Amino acid sequence: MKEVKIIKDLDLLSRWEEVYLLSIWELQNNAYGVTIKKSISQKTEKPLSYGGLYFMLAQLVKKGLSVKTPGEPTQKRGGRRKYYYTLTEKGKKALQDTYVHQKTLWKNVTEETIK
Amino acid sequence: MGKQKTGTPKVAIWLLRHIADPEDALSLIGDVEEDYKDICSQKGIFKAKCWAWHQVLISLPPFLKSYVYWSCAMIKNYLKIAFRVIKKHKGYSFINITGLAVGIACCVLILLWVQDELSFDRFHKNHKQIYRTTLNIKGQWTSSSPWALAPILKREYPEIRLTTRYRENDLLFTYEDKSFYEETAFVDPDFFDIFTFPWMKGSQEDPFPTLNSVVITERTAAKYFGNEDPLGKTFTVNNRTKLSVTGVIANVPSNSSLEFDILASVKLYGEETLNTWALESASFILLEKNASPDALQEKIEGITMEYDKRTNETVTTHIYPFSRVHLYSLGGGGNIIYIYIFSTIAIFILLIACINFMNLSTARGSTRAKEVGMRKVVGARRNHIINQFYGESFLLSFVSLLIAIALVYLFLPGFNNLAQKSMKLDLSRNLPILLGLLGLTLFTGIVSGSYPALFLSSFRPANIIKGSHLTRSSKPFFRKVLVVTQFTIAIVLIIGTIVTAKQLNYIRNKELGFNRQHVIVLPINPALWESYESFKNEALNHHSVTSVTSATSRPTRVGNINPVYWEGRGPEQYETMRFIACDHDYIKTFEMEIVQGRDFSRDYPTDIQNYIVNEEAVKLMGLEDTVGKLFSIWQNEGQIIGVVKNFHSRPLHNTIEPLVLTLAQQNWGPSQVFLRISPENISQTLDDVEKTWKKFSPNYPFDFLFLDEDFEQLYRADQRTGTIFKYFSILAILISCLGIFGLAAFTAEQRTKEIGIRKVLGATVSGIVSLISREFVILLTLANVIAWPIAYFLMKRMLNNYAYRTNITVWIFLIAGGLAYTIALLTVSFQAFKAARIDPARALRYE
Repeated sequence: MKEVKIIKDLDLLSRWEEVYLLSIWELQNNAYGVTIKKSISQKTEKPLSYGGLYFMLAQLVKKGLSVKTPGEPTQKRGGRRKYYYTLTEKGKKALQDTYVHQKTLWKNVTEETIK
Repeated sequence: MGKQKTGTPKVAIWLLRHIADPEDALSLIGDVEEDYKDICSQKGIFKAKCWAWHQVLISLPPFLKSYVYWSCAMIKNYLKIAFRVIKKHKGYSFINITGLAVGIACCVLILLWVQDELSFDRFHKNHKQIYRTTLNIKGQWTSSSPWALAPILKREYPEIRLTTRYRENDLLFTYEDKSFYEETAFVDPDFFDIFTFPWMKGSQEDPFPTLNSVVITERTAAKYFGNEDPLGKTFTVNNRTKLSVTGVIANVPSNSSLEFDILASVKLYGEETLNTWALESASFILLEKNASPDALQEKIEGITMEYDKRTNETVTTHIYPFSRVHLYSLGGGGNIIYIYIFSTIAIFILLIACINFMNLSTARGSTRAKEVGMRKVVGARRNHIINQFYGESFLLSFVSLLIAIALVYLFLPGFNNLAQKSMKLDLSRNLPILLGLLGLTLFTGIVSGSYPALFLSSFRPANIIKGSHLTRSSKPFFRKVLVVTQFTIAIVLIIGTIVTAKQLNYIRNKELGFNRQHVIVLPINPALWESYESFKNEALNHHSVTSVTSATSRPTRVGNINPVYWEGRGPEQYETMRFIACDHDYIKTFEMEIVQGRDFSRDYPTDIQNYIVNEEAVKLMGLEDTVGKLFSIWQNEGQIIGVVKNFHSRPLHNTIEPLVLTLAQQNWGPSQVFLRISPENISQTLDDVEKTWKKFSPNYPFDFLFLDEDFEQLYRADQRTGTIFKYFSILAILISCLGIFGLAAFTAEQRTKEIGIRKVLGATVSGIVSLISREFVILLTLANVIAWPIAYFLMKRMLNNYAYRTNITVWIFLIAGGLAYTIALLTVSFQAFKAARIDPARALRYE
């Protein structure tokens, strides 16, 4: 009974959103384009393009799950600023909800039981 | 790392920067550069470059996705604003959309007409290989061809696959109690293989199994036999011959220049006639697919004089593409001129409508500068604004397109009626029109949206919101040019309408050289012809019938051309003249005037060989004393006994040509009877004449027409042109007026404050009206100045189509100009008056 209600009220993330938010959270204060891309590529074992990366990041920002803050320009980047991404409260809550929801959803399931 | 050359991939970076979402572009390329440098130091510059380009490539789909995604998010907002703007300015939007819709609708109607005209005779599968033979007799073109020509062509020239003769005749067909005159074409069996008239019943292999077979159209079958099977049914033709139906073909389409209801074998004319070289039929040939018409032309040029012993080297034989017959006359000119005229009008009207649309959009666009400023402040980029304004004008032009299509469906029946056609608008099949319409909508959208899109979006937001940009100076010059163009076109069209009407009027009232009023024309029939003299006497017994005559042709349309020669010239130096074979009372009945010599007379039995010529013929012959000279048509020699005053024997597009009259005899039998009746009590007279008619030819219908009606028929095409011209120029003026109506309203609105202040300082209503109208008066004057010479030139060209034409007077120009002034000023001052009447207190509180 309780679970059904949870699904209704929660901001559930899509799988991709989940992966992105997790990466940003893991990277803590060092989450910007290059590092996020690397982290995601590792997680999914698939090459990712910068175009795809920024499309997704922009959507996360629009949904209010993440914010970006400008950093200092560096020589290595051709004098361009880094933009650091961090989770908003909403983003954090969404991650938590997703985690809890996953757990309850898979509670009685083990790898062996699915056959 | 420091030693290594790490040139950044400039091109790739530049590309990424310009296709990425501007929001993130900078950090994106920063990331790329950082990554690039790492890869460069680890794997070398080549690998790094490859990587960079790979990034560009695989980033394209997400960029596209992102673009579409963010545009979709804004479209809802843009649409909402667009509809709000439409609702807020109902008047403008109405004028704008209707004007363009009407313009597009007009244009589509005209294009349909042009398409229909161009489609004439193209429905035949082999239309590219079909030719018609023509003759050039001493510089005179004729599409008639000798009976004997077609079989010889087919026999002698392998590149000619099939040939047919074609001769039309009105014959009386009777089946049980139904009896009608039918347009009958006499053809060779090849006809059905040359032309594509699909068979519905019967066998195309053997169209005429016996001499007495006929093939009829579905329409004719339904008319006579209803639902019965027409095959095997027998008609009685001209109350003598029996012909039975052996086939039914589909109705002749309306875009066919061959028109008939019944087809019969040409062999009915008899071998003897068919072997002659009399110019009494037309011939059509079908060339082999790869044959060269030019080569054939060269070979057959002399064929007529080679076989026909009566003529000499000045008759040449030619072939003429059948698909050109409808549009191009043999001697040049033809219906193609109407296609040019109407296409031009269509383009003009469309231009006016588009100009209007652009003008109003532009004018209104400048009132939205504040909106643009706001949008920019909250983060809109220039290309967002551009997209928004373009989108809005596309929306408007698309709505107009939909309304236009509805209008076309609504008015097509009326237009069909006017143009005497049966056109249909089928957008799914009519690809050129569909594409044209879409293209047009895009074009109008782009042009009308360009000003607000490109100009307004370039302002700096701070300036706009402070109001330091000048609304009034926003391209008034451009708008003025558009207004002038619009009125120039409208004035040209008005002048066109007036000149066409004047020319038609001129033709109708032109002294023709004979009296066309109160003459009845009846087709002659064998029964009547046998007892013609007694019929004539009996008809003259009715005191309301003043004169009776018969002849080969009406004086309004004399078609026959024959070679003639005269005293001092042998057969080898002949000229051609039109000719009429008539009875003794022709000149009297039509009240023509004899200027020299005398009329035909029963007192001189030898008149049967004598001739009367017209003044033009006298001029051509150049003899000192024409009367009494010897004269011959073909080999029939006689004397010229009189000269008749010139009369217009052809439509007034042509000059008066040399003409000769002779008495009808066995081989030049008349085809029509003419009765001059007194103008009083016409219906009683018609009853009387019908009784006499029935007495002499009981089995033939009393199928009469009045000569003056027939005369009007000659100019039906011209009249139609005139009417279409009239309607479209009215529309053009209307659309232009809608345009300046909107523009004047806009000007008045923008100057509300100014007007208020002027009124407070003591300006009168009339003063303000003239203030606002002044600008338009100047523009109109300019339009007149430009329009007059253009119209004069165009009308001169148009009138060149007629040999007898009305003159273009200054008055026409003044009237057209005056009309434009009146209409335009009424429109403008309505707005100006409205503005001037506003209470100044309210005007000053405005905004």
